[in-house]
Amino acid sequence: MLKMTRRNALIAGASLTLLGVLAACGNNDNAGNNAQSGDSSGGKKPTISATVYDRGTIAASEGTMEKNRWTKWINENGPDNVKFTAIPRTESKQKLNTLFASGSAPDLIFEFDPNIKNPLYDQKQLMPLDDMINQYSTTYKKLLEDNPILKQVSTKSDGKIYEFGKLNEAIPQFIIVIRQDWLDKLHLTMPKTTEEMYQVAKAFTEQDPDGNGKKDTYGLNMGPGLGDIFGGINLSNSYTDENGKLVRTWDNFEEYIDFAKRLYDGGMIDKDYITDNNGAKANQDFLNGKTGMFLVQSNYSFWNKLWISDYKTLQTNSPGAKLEIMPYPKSPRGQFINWINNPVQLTAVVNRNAKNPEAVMKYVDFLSEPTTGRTLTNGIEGVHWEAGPTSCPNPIDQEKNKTELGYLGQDYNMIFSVVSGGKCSFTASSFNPDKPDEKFAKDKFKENMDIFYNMIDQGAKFPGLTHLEHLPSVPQDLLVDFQNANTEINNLITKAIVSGSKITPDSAVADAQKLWAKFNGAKLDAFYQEWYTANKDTALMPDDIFQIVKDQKATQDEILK
Amino acid sequence: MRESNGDKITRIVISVLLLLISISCLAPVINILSISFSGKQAVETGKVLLWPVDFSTQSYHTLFEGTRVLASLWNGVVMTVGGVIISMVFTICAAYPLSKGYFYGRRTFTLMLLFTMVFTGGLIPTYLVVKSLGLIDSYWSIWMPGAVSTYNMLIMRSYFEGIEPEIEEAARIDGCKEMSLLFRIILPLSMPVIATLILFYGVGYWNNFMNVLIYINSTEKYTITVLIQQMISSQSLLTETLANDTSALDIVPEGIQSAGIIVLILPMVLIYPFLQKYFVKGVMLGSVKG
Repeated sequence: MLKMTRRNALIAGASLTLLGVLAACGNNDNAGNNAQSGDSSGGKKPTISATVYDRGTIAASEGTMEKNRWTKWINENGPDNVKFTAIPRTESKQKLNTLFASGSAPDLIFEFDPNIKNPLYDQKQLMPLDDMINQYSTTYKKLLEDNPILKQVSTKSDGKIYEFGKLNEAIPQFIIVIRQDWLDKLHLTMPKTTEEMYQVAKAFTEQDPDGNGKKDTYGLNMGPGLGDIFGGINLSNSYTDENGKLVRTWDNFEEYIDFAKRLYDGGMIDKDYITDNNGAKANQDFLNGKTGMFLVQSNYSFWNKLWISDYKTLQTNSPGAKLEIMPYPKSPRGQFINWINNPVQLTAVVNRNAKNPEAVMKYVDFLSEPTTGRTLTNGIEGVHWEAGPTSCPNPIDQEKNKTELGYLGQDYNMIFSVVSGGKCSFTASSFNPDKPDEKFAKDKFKENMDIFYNMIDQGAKFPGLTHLEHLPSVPQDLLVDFQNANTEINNLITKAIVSGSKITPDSAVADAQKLWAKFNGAKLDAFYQEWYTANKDTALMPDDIFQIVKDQKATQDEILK
Repeated sequence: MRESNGDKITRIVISVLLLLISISCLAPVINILSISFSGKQAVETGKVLLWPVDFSTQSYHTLFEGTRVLASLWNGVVMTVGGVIISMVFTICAAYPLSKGYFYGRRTFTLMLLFTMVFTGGLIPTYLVVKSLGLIDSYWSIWMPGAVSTYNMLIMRSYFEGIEPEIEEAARIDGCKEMSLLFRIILPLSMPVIATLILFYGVGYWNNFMNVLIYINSTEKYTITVLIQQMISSQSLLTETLANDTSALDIVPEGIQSAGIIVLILPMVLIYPFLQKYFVKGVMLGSVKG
């Protein structure tokens, strides 16, 4: 017996030794890597660390997101030696939380989602930036001076700046396109109100607009922006200001449910829309020429996707298809504008433990330079692009650029403002008018902008209190309630839409109000009210958004003329 | 014995049912396979069902040339093979003594191990431990904390316990000591359970996503599971208006996603048939004697 235990002890001991050896190997591996990345630092430049999104789209021949031709370019041409940490794009919350919790977060963190960054501010993990900007910055400082709204928005509740940000193009994020050929065929006109929209949807569904003798068409898809037509149905955003008091706009919900319910009952939308959570089926229906009115995302590259590649596919599948842009119809709740791309977007924060704020600031300044912005978007002149007819970059070899630039996106220069880049960084400049399909996309873009400006001039309202990214994050103690309220109320809305005459829109809203009350709605309302009272003059509100649209109009007009 | 008509009908009904069930399991895989070999337009318009439309290998070209799929595939293999070896060594080392009635403190050790099945340290504390051991950004951070799965260890222990004691006695009489008993008698007799656990551990390591994401910082070391997961969930960015991502321009097309999924499951699909014959036997034996 004793002998046996000794043997076992021996085995245990041997295992432990083995474990130790293995661990030591792990250590060595690590040290080796660190030394390696240290080697690449050129000369006396200070070293900082920064995050970059990893989307899994970089080719092996280009290297990794941490080390490729562009990180090399940044380190050669920039003021610092930047050591990148890749953050998996769709798991950035998890990754950043672990990095912060373990004290190994990089100095400069690029992140879009305010719901990831706001808690970091609450936990005092972030460095105030005022001193850095005042002492070390030139380019970014000037950007703040020229655009006071950016400074306003990046100032947090304690009166200090905590985030770097950028100005974006203020353009519609979602639009509706309508099958003009179907309208013509059925002798209908472009709907101007939601009631007319309903009638057109009914005709599109019942009168066989594609002429195949089958009732297989839909009036529209349950796409992005449908709720916005009724003033917005997002729980954190559906408030209206009545003499400084926030009042929840439950009527929006009621009108929306009523509209969607009638569509559903009449078979004008896909009965299976609930299971189509990423819109893939709706997109297929549209491309197959089955959808009359298509609600679709329209900013950035989505514009080209819609008007160049998807339009071509649609016309192959459904010869004679003709699309027109349909301005958002007027609903019983009033006339609302399309959801607008966030024009002032906060995208970077600095770790409180950053060792060298000066170097971080210098790097941010470097990223704000027009030439840096251009290079990290379009590549290098003469290699990836040459000046086109509008003196804006035109790609030389699209295949080559796909590999060498495809993974760039805006991921290395997330703080580059559209105003710094001048007219060439506007979407409209990216179209090459020498190519017919791009010229067409450009014409449509102009048409859309004209509709957009016109609607704002006519007093169309913003669908919600303000842009979602500019609302405060719900505090931790109310977060679970808020999330539950959100889930349950949205389930309730869906249920109301699909269950026929059993649930009426007003009883659904009454139930939603009960749920809101059950999940501490009163406290949540008070939280938003408190924030609104304190911040309504400094936060980005719809009036500011419309002002930015107007400020950018001259540039847009110049490009689109 | 002759089958009655009733038996025949029952048999046919059961066969048809099972066939339908297997087809319903297989259909999604075939669908993905067909999508990966179809033309872009056919995929976008939803024309592909169980057979490729406009046959094209473009998705695979793009996948292999435009992403790090080969490098990450190799990483996945390294992580899985390394992990399986480590896990098997430690699992055998733990299961063997615990299967012996004369092992001192057997009950205590078993209880201690069982304890870990019920309670875990939580994500952040575990991360801090791994970090203080200096394992972050190396595969040891995945291999070591999960080297032994208690559940698998118990299966193996039960199997060892089930080996006839007479065999062991005979070996001892012939002069076999503890180590050679393990290596020359017990392990060769335990091939079913070893094959089964290799499969369990292998699939576990291959599919490991969260740990790689958390513990590995260099994308150079990402495994194929992480890469493909990234491609597939990029779709979700579209539906989140809140994460107003100004550069979400590269939503990976469905064809390439499907090609990725095929590459991801292929190694496991290839290995399964070879281990399957042991697989069923191993699990059953382990469970009955538990």
